[in-house]
Amino acid sequence: MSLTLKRVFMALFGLLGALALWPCLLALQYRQQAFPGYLLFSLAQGVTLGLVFGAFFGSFEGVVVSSRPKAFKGLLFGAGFGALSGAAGVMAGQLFLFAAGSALWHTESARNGVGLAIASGVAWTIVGLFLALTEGFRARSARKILVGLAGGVAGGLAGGAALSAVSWFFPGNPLALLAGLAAFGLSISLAWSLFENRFSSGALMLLNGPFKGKEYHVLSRRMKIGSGSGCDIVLKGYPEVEELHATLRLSGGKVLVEAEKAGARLLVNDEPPAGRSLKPEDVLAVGKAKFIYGYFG
Amino acid sequence: MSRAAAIRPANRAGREEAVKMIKLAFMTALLALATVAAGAQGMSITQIGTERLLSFQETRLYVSAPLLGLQPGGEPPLFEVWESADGEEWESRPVNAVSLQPNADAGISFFLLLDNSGSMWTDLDGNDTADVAAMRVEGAKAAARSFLSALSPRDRVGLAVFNTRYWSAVAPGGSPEDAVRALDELSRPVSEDAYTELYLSMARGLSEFAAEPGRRVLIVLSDGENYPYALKTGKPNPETGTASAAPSDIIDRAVRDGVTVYAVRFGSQRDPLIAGVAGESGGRAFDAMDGGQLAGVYETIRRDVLAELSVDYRAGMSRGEKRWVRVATAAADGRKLSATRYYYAGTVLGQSASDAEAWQWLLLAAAALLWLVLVLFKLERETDRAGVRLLYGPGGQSTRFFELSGAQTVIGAAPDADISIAGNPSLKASHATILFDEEKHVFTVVSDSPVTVNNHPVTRKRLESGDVINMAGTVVVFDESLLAKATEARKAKAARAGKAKPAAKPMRKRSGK
Repeated sequence: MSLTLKRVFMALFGLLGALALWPCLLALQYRQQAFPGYLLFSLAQGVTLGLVFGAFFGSFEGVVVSSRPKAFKGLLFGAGFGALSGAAGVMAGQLFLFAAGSALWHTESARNGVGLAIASGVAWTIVGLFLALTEGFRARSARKILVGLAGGVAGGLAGGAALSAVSWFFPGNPLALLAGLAAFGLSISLAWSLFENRFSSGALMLLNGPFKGKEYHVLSRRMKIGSGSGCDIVLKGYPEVEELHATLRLSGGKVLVEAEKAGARLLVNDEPPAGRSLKPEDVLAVGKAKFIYGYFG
Repeated sequence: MSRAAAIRPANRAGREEAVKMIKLAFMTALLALATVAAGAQGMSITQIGTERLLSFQETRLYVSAPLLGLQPGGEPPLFEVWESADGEEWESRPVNAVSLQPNADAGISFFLLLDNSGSMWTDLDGNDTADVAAMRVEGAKAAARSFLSALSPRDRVGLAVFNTRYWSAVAPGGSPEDAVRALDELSRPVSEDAYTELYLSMARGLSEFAAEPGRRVLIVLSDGENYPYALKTGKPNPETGTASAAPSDIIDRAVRDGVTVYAVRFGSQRDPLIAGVAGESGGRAFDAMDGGQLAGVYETIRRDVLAELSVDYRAGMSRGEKRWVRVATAAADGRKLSATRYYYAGTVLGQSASDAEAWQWLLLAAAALLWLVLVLFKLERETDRAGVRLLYGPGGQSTRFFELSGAQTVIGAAPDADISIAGNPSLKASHATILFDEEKHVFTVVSDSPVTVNNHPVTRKRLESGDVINMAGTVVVFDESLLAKATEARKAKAARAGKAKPAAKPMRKRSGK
C-alpha cells in the first residue's frame, strides 16, 4: 500500500470510527438521567469513545499489512486500550475542572458553559493523544509512541477542540455531534499518518508477489519479517519464506537485517547481508519476496 | 392610641422624627404582611448555587421561609427536594444538608445599583427644588448609609450608579465604608446624562457582580421607568452605543449566574416590568415613597436574606440545560410549604433529545461491515504476466506495466523499441534486451554496456521476480507471477524428469551390468 493510499485508509478509519460511535453516543446521552452523576456519565462517554476509535485505530496496521489475525488482535487491543484512554482522558478533564475551574471561570454560567466546554475539550484532547499512542503500544515501538505523541498532540488538540466546540455551538444537534466526531477521528488519523513518515528511518517497498506495492515504515527497534502473523512484515503466499525469517534492527539510525533461521534465503543486492546496514535503493530478498529500501512519499 | 400617647413632642423637630419612626414601623409591618401574601406558599427559593455541581454533584438552594419561624441554633426542619427536566415529571433527590442562617456565617455579597437620573434631583413629587435636603437623591443616600452601617463585617458590598452612563463606584466584594465614601461623590448629571438606562445598567451590574462567590443580592433602586438614551434620542449612548437590554435578558442572566434581584421603586413613577424581573430571579419588588420607607425596605431585604436557610442536595442528571427544582417542608402547625424554580446546569458533550434511531444503528453496522471488507480483501494483487514497470517513473508512469512477450524484448529510448521509454537522454536507443527461454521459462537481461541488476553491474543476468534493473538512471522492476513461476518450475521439473526417465532405465540397466 503506497503512502498516499495508506493515509486515505487511515482517514477512512477515523471516519468509520465516528460513524460507528455516533448512535452509541446518542443512545448514551439520551439515557443521561440513568447516571448518578456527571463523573460517571462523562466516564461512560469517554470509555465508549475510546473503545470504538481504539478498535478501529488498533486494527489499522493489520489491515495495512493484510494480516487478518493481526487486524483482529489489534481490534481487541485497541478497544481495551482505547477504553482505558477514554477513562483517563475524562478523569484528566475532571481534574482540570477541579484544579483550575473556579480560578479561570468565576461565574456560575461561565463554569457551566465555557468552563465545562473547555474541560471536555481537555478531556477529548487527552483521549485523542492516547488513541494516537495505541499503535505505538500495540507494536511496543518507541518510535511509534513518538509518532503517536506528535500526532496525538496535534490531532487531539484539533479534534478535541472541534468536538467540544460543536457541542458548545450546537447543543443537542445530532448531526453536529456526528460532524464533531468525524473531525475528531480525522484529525487524529491524519496527524498520525503525517508524523509517521517524518519519524520513520526509511521504508521497505515490496516489489513483487501478492502484496506488491506495500510500504513498510521502519519505526521499531526490531521488526520481524516472515510468513507468521506475529511478524511485523507478514509475507503470506511467498515461496521460501520461513515463519520467522529475518529481523530488521534499527540502531543509531541505521537499519540492519539479520537472518533468523540458518539457510533461509536472505540477500541484500544478491549477497548475504553480512552485518552491513541498508542504504537507499538496496534490494532485499527474503525468500522469493523482494523489497527496495528507501524513503518514499 | 397607645402609640400617640407615647409621643411627647418637645419641639417641632422631635415630632417630625417621631412621625417618621411611626411611618417606618407601619411600613415594615405592611411589608412583612406583603411578604406572606407574595409567597402564597410561604416559602421561596431565592438563589440556586451550582458552584459544587460539576465537582460534587451538589446544588444549593437558598430558601426564604418566614412562616417556619426558625430561630438561630434551633433544629432545622426536614426538607424534601425533587428535580425535573420539564417541570412535569419529578424525581426525588436526596438532601445532603440543611443549614440555618448560612448567610450569617459566610456573609452576603450585596450590590447596590443606584439611579442617578435627572429626576432623582427633584423633590418627592417630581418638582424642581433648590432645597437639597428635599431631593430624592438625598433620601436614597441616607437610606443607603443606614443600610451599609447595619451590615455585618462578613458582608461584602459593591456599588454602581447609573443614568445615561454607568459608574462602577465600588467593585463587588468591597467594604461598606468604600460605598459610603462613594455616595458622597454623587453629583447631578447634565441633561444629556440624565436618562434612566435601567435594564442596560442592570445587565452591566450583573456582569460585574456575577463573579462574587456565595450569596449574591443585587438591589436596584430606580425612581422611574426604563428610559434608554439611544431609544429616546435616536443617538447612540456615549458608553454602550445602540446596545439594548430587555427584562427577559436580565432574568436570563440573573438565573444563569444565580443572582437575586430586589427592585425598589422609589416615588410614584414606577417601571412596570421590573417587579417581574425581581420575582423571576428569586427576589421581590418594593415600593418606597420617601427616604424613611426606603430605609425600611433595605432593612427588610437584609433581614430576609439573613434569615434564609440553605438546602444542599444531590443533583440529578436530567437531560438538557434547564432544570426545575422543587423544595417542600412542613411548618410547625403541619401546613405544607413548597417552592419551585429552575436553574441552568452544564451539559457534557451536548445532550441528545432523542434516542438513536434504527437507521443510525444501521450506520454502525455499515461501518463494521466496511471494516470487515477492508480486513478480508486486499487491494494488492499479484501479477499474472511477466513484465517490467518503472520504479520511479515520471508522474503516473510508475504504475504502467510493460508486458514481456516473445523471445526477446528490446528496451530503449527509440520509439520503435519494444519497450520505449522517453525522457532520459542517457538512455540508448536500444539499451538492453530481455531474452525469454520458453522451454526453461527463464528471463535473462542482456546489454552491451553494463546495466545494474540489484545494484550490481552486469552485461548478462538471469532475472527473477522483483529484480531491479537500472539502465543509465532509468530504473525498472522485473516482475512475474511467483505462483506461476512455481507452477512452471514444477512442470519443467516434471517434464525434465519425464524425459529423463526412459534414458535413466537403460542407464540403470547398464549400471546393473
